[in-house]
Amino acid sequence: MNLGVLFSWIAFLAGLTAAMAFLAAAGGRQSAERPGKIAYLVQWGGFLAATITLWHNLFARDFRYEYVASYTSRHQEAHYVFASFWGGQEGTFLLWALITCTLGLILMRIKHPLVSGAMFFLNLPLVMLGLVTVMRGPFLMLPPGRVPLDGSGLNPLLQDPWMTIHPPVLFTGFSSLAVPFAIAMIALVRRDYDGWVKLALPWVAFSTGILATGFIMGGVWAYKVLGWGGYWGWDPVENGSFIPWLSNVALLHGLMVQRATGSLRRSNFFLAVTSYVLVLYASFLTRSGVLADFSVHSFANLGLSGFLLSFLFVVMIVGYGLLLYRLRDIPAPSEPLGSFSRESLMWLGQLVFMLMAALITVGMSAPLITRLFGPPSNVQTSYYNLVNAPLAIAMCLLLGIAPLIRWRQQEHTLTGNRAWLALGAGVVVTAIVAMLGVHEILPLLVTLAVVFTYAAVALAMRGVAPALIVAVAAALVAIALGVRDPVPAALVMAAAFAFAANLTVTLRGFRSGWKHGIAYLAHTGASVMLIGIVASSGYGRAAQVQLPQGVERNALGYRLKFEGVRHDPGGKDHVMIAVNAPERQFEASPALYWSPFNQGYMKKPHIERFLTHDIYISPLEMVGENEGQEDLLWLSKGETKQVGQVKYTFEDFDREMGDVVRVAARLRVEIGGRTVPARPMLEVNMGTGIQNRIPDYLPGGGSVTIARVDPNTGRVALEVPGLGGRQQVGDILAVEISTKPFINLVWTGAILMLGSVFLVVLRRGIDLAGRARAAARQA
Amino acid sequence: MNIKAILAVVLLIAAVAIGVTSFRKSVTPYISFTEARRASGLVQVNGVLADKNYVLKRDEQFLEFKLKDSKNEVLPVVYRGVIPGNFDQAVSIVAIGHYQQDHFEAEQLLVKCPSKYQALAEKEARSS
Repeated sequence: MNLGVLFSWIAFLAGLTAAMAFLAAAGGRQSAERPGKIAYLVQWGGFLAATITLWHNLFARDFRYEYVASYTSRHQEAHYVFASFWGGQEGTFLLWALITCTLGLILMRIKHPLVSGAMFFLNLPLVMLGLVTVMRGPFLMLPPGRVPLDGSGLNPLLQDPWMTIHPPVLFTGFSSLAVPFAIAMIALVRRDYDGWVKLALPWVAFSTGILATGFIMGGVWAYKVLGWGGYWGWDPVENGSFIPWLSNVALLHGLMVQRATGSLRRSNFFLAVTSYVLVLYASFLTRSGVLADFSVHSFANLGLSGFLLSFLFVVMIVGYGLLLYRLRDIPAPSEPLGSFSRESLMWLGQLVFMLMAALITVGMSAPLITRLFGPPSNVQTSYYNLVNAPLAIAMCLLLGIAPLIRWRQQEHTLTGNRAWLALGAGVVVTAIVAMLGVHEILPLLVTLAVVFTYAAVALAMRGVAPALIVAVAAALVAIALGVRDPVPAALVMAAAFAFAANLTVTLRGFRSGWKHGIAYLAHTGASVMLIGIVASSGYGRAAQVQLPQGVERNALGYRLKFEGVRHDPGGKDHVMIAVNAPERQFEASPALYWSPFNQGYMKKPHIERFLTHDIYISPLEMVGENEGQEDLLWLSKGETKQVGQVKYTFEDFDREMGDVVRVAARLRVEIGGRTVPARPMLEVNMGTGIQNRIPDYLPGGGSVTIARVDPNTGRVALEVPGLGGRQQVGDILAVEISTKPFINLVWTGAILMLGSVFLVVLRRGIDLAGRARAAARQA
Repeated sequence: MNIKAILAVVLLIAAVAIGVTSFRKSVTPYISFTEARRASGLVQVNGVLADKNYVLKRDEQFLEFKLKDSKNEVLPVVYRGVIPGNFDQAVSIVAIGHYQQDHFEAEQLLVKCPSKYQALAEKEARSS
């Protein structure tokens, strides 16, 4: 009996039961709530048991399970066996289900009139995730004859300590957005358009924190391990966690406005639905295979795209449908959004966030969009930087101004004369910038808008002088350090402005208790991080050099000498480079080795850290005339050879001539006491010259491929498991060396921001608990 | 009309304008060699190595070769940068760049090798 499948079924059926019971309870039948809670607990127990079963199967290396055979191997270290749980799609769906269910367990314990109804809506995604684990779970058994002796192991790219923690954090983020969605849904059903705010706030803040933790961890991983040369590559998977976050941050601020002033009711419902929709849309894009050619880590197609698409449509229809149905019923705010008040600026900030989300979504959907007009193509990552930089400037300006002004301020002091004066200042500075040699439209427009804003703020607002001084100082420092382009200069200036303004408000807030300063502290963190991002990604110097062994070469003023390869018993070789830098002499040892699993080079950069910058040495590859040794299995007709525990016998070729020539090798393979036929093939298109090598699979997940055919002797060369295959080893090492100025600001800002956001979660949680206690006393 | 509404409209128009121009600027479609010769801006072409008569100077990071597409059209390509080690075994070469006078100046070279090609096929075969 397959326990995993059994537990999945229990969870799925219990989920259906719980959904129906909660529906009845929300409909007014109080007696149904208890059975609903019990069924929900059973559902959670089912997911938990299925999870434990999967881990048990993985650790037991029970290769009868396809999932285990695909993602572990006998000699894999324990923490990677642990991580191989989420090495494949089926496992991640189970993880997603378990985390969503666990969060629901917490929601269920909160005493609030909306909770039982919210539990029904939370069970909607849960039932769908349960359905996937039942239909396409990680518990598929291989037919008895196909059980391998050893598994293929986890992809070496994923064999990193970060892999043990990064995916669960990210999935907690994705799952957590289901809770505000569920709360918003029941609020719409119950026509309780304000009561849900307090219940949703701690959850929304939690999502903000945990999603940011997830993608910042991903950034650290990319920077330290993957060696992409940066922490952020606008890869679809990164964008997929970033856009729901943007929408969720917009929701967080909308809820604050609604709590303080009673406005923005409709857009808050819209954002609660949209945040979850974006999670599902991003999952669809990255997992369904539509981007398979365009992303570094999209999962290969698993036939789940249909499911994800219907999941997405169900959530959209239910979410937006219910909102449209109630739209006219939602009361307008008692007082209009102020003209130049804190809430109106926060509303503008939401707009900026949603525009960013929309433009990033368009970018990551480019292969889908361009497919409508012609061949699918992707946007360059420069697209994201181009569109986000001006929006980030606008956001920083709002972030600096909003905390300094009051709620519900109806009048503004930007009178006609002052506005003209501010505009005049903008025109003058823009003209100067243009004379200094900037002739593109966008930077000039940005300059005009930014200078106008600062001038208007300086003329019409009190108490901004310190922040403005800091901003101008930061801009001057940036220019002195070599920033010549107005857009990044304006971004640094705006971020410094936001930093100074929020620091003032933070300190003022702390005087009346920690609760009143932490939200602004999160803003200071975000501003510091932005400055770090501009500096480290835009103003690093980079050079690619080729290093013949033993010869010193110069790059960026650093003298580099490739000293040789340090062989590692685990096969993870490091290249040794002596670096003579003005700051310090050091020995860099980035990893560079051939991975038979990925048929590609695995690389890990060397990072030499300094207070103001990092030196980043990223190996590219070994090149050179030396073509390197080949480790192939050569067989003549009728010959038998043994590699490891496996015996290969080559019988004969099958040939097929035509425009496409196909040569297949008929083999008999003795593996694990059985003999199976194998027939790898070589396909050559005579027109284009394109060769295609079609492997055949062995029981156990290994494969046999024809590397080469010798027509004269009738021999065949095979790539088989256990041999190195076709390695290319040269004697010239190509590396990219770059500097990352002020990278420490990125990490400092990130820690400051995340720490504060989790304190906000605590604060909103305490508020909610206090309210629940007060309600209990009244009742 | 109050300040807030004006600002919102300005933001919206600016974002859409920036979005559309940036999208058109940075999307690099796969196009034919004939189109590549006419196109301005960054484009993407793909094909196979036309012959083995290429000029390769690793130390100077200079590579000049002829790319042949499925219609047997030939495009001379120049690339300056770190040259992929397995360049001459490529079954398919993607060049991103722009056409200049008499040749295609590649800023980026993506090389699909038979082995990588097969790893992909292997992955697909395993998951289906």
